[in-house]
Amino acid sequence: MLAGDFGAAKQKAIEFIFEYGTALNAPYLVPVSSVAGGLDTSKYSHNYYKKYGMDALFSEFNLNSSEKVEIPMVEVQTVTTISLTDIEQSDEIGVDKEIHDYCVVSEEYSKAKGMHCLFTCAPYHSGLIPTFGEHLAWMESSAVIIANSLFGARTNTESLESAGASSLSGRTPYWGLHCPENRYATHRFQIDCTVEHDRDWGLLGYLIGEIAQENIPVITGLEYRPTFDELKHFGASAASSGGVELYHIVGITPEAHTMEMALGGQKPKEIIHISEKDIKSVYKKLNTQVESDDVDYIVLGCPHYSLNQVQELIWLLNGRVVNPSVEMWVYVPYTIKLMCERQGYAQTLKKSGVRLLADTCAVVGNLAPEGTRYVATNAAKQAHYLPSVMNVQCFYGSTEDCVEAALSGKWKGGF
Amino acid sequence: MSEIRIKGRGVYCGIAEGEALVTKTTFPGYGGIDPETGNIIDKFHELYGMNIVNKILVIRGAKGSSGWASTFHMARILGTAPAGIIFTKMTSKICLGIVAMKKPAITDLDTDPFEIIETGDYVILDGNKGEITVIN
Repeated sequence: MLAGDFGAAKQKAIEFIFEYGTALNAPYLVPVSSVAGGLDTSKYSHNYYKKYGMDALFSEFNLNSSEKVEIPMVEVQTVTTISLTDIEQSDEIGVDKEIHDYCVVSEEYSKAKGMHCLFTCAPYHSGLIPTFGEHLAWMESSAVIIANSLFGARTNTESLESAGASSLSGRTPYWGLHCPENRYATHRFQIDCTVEHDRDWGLLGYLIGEIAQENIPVITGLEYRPTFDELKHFGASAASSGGVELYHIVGITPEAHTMEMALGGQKPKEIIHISEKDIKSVYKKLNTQVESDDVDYIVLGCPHYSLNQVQELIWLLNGRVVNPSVEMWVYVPYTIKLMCERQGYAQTLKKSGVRLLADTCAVVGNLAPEGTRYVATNAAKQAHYLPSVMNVQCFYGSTEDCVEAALSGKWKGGF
Repeated sequence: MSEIRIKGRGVYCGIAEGEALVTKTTFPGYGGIDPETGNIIDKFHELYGMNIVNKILVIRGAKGSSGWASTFHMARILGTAPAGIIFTKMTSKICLGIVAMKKPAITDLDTDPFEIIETGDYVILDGNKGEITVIN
């Protein structure tokens, strides 16, 4: 492959993986069976594609090659990550025609190269479930942490460049979380308070991410078993405030049947106690930038909502209609949108004045109704990014708080 | 004026020099750096409002979104990249950012750089030899 016997693109791909592995100091490469990546979603990509074409865009941003090479079909099962718009609603949500057109072209391009166009940060909601011990090359920090922690698959956090190169070469450096000896917990977090709903799971994740940084936490002291969606929120938050890519919960996650197993027989480097006061301080941090209790825009679905979460939202709305001064947008994978239509959820949400969007997200697509100043969200990750990316002020709270704000136009959440 | 040398492992080859921008915390990428200007836009980060263009970043490592590398890749294309990176915690995220950015970088240092380098110090980073020279 390095010699170019499989074509110029695969040569560029394996050259990049070699360069990456050398920089990591990895001993060798390992085959991967699944890649989650995608085409560039920056606001510059549509200009780049128009100027140089899609193969040049893929060469530069997915293979790190400024020399344009002809891109063949992917070698490994590859799914696409979040896109810049829901192409069925671009006009209604104010997406520029140029960006919409780029998304249409990149979808066709991705399909032609054999990629599966899931356009989600939560590919597991669309049936992509890795097996225990499987080597992957995934992007999307919230999906990486789930793949490692809940499925016991092995992946580092990849980038557009490395995911593109792995999709064509079928390899990734054997380093980091691919190696069993690097997967043991290093820091123990003892939870000394009750963590009982979605708001608290986001706060706990955010707090642990800040403290653990890129280390591996093991969590003890939970009073009840969290749901998959709660852990999804927890992991996404920990991967936003810090760089956590794997955690263990004794008795719940697959590499932590016991504390000894989670720690690999070693003692933790640190034991950190978490109190309600600690969790409350994160709540304040994520809510401090607000000067008014008005809410213009409510963001739900980060990471992308499951069908259960959509149903829960419908139950909370209970047929009521959102305040005319507020827009509530719910982000889901395309597959979940189809299921919402089958179940009647899409129609119910429409009647309540709620917009259901597939394939995209507020932060990545820079999506907000015109004139938005005050955003409310039940996702700690969005509360972390939106003030910086969209220059808005943000409220963070539970789904119930967000529904209440949608109905009244005012934030009444608290801790 | 004094010169201090730190040895480490070159992660990406090349020689760079410039003013240091130092943080013991992990560094934001996607949604935290504006590649058009090189400004740090992460309002939760202690270096919020500072600029990375042509700086030698002295940082712990990378945090947040898997778009970290894309952000630094775009910074290279738009001419807003830092001159080089000195860091202490290797992850795939920071490594990919460096390889995508194609700028000299060093890690595995024999001395804690945060004990020696302060923001504003002049730093010469030799990614070929794995050597840092700090002038303060």
